[in-house]
Amino acid sequence: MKGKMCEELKAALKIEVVPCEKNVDGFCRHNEEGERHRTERKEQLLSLVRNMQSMKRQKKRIGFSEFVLRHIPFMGKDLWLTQGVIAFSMFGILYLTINRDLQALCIRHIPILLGLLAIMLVMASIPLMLSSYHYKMYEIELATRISLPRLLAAKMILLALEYMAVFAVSVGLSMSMADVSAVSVTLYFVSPLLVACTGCVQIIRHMDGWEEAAQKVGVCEGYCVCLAALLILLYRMKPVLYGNDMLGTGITIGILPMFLQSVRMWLKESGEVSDKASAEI
Amino acid sequence: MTRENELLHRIKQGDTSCWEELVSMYYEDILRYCIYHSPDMETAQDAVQETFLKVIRFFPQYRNRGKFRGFLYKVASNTCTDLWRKRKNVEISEDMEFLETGFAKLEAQVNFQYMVRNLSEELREIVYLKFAQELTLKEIAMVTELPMRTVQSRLRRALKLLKNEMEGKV
Amino acid sequence: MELEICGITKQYKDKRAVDDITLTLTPGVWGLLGANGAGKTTLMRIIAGIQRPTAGCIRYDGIEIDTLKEAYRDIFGYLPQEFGFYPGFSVQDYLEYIAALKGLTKAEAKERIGILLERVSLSKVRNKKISKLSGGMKRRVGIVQALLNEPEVLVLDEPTSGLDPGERVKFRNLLSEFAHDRIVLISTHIVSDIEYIATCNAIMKEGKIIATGKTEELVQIVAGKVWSASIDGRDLGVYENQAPVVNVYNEENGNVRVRYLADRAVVPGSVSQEPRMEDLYLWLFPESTGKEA
Repeated sequence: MKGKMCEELKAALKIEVVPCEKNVDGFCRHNEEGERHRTERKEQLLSLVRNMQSMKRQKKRIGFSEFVLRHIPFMGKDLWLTQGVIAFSMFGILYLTINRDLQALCIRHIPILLGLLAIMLVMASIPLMLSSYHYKMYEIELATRISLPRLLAAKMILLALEYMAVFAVSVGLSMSMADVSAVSVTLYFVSPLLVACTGCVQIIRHMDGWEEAAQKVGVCEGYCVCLAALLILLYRMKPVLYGNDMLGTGITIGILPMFLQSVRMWLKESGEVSDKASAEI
Repeated sequence: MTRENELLHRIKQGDTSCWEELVSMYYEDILRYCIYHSPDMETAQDAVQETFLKVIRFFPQYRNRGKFRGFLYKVASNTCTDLWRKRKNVEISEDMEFLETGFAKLEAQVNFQYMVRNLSEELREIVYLKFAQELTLKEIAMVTELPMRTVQSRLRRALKLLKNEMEGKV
Repeated sequence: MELEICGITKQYKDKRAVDDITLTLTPGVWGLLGANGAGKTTLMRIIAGIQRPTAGCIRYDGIEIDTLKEAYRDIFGYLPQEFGFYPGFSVQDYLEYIAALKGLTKAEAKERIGILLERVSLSKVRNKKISKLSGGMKRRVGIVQALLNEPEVLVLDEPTSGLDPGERVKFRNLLSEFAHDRIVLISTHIVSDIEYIATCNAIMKEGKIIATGKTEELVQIVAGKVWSASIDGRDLGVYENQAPVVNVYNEENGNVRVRYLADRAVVPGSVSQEPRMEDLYLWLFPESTGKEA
């Protein structure tokens, strides 16, 4: 009944409306002049459209993917240098600690090392993600066509690519040197990475205001250090638990939607000046 | 790809000659919409012209993602409101009526038109956008700036009222 | 080309920064005058679309900027009151960075940066680090970034803040040139900035627009209330308590000539003066002290 009514409603409302005027006897009659005028106006509009296109110089603008590529020189260089330095330093410290004897590096060290590497990568990325606020570029960036949310998204994409590169190297090394499965390596790396990222995003979202950019960086780094300490503690006290693939999988699956939701909310909120930040000025 | 999407794609690539075809495709629909939202035919036709010229001007820089129709109707809605506000004091000729109900094929269709016109403004607009202009609920939400849930509940309420009135008449 | 500010209100927890402002801007230079804390920056951010109002909307050519989204930002140029630069950026780096954010192609960015740097006389320092530039030069870089996308609407928040008088004059000349066929809105608490280049002004106090109009119309508010008199320097303190003093000039005979505001002359021998914007500002904001030179 409802479906039939909807069809009838559609038919009734889609009747073409035509201009008409009332006769002396009060009945409507079709207005031919009105109809002619209507056709003329349509032709006039189409002619205007044609002229508009021939006169107007269309501004060409780049899309998001081209923007990401153009952004690499502004971000990629410093970031990859920092990350590279961290990875190299970690390896260097390890190498010296185990007295240059790579054979001493047991398979059991790999999980904790991958976890710490993931956390350190996040720590190196935080200042970059907050640089717009820290250097007061935020307002100008917000008012551009691409705007701040997509700028942050571009940074995240480039960071993700970088993490994947580091991850790929780690998988390769671990599998070749210590015969660890790719699944295990993934869990050892990705779980701490997601936990670190989610925590940092939540800290950034809930610490509002202009002057707190440096404080936000500090709190995020502190959170990451605590997370690293927790990992080491867990590794020392419950190594069996630490190496448990099921647990790792559970944590990864559990934290992934939280991470995605946090990032989505952050990008949405970054699209405008927050009330707290504004009220402080 | 639908013809509309193809035209929009070509426009984005820089082939601005496609605007003429796109305007022709939507002209009657937007005219009908503007007639229902304007005090007289002249204002309605001015509104149509302004709507299309604004859309052509702004749409290329607007991120597409299948939102052309929603954007088009939103601009039409704003333009009609604007022009109506500006021409509030203009005397509307009593001899002119722009809804030709005599052309309706069935008496039921005439009844429907009157019933819809008697709905409250907030319900009427949604019924009209859904059935006369055939917009999706998402597009209606964009044009009316209401949450989708509100659009759905208002549509349900309107249909219920129309159904009751229809059954009352039978 | 028309920018409509329709009933804009911004309410914070404990204060109303912008209170039901309605204004229509047409091509030309508009001055938004008001003391610090009047709500100018908040209003400008709302116009820029980077802050949400509590009520009201901004419409460009009849379409709400919320609907236009990036189509509006594409024709918009903004210079905030406070802005920084990434460390290590040269002028060229910075402008290329902003050009990418504005969606310009590489070719167009190169062309626009070249033309604009030439216009603001910064071509020679394009490879210099921004941190090494003077305040005035940094402001000019700021102006260039705002103009990269050939905006139809240009909003500048306190653009001459921190500039010396010479740089301010240069800035005014630059703006007059760029204002052709654009809507330019400048907010300032420095009257002389806009007195000579603004076509129309709006005066803001405690979140409200209290007066709008051309400069020559607005100054009529204080017509017949501006006086000049010569007094003994020792009596200055006495008269300052009775009426706001706009200016004090030392005279050769040891007296001082005061320019002050009052409904009726308070100093014997006062002569009525032609009102200026500075007089209007002090009349409307008597609490402000220390006019800029």
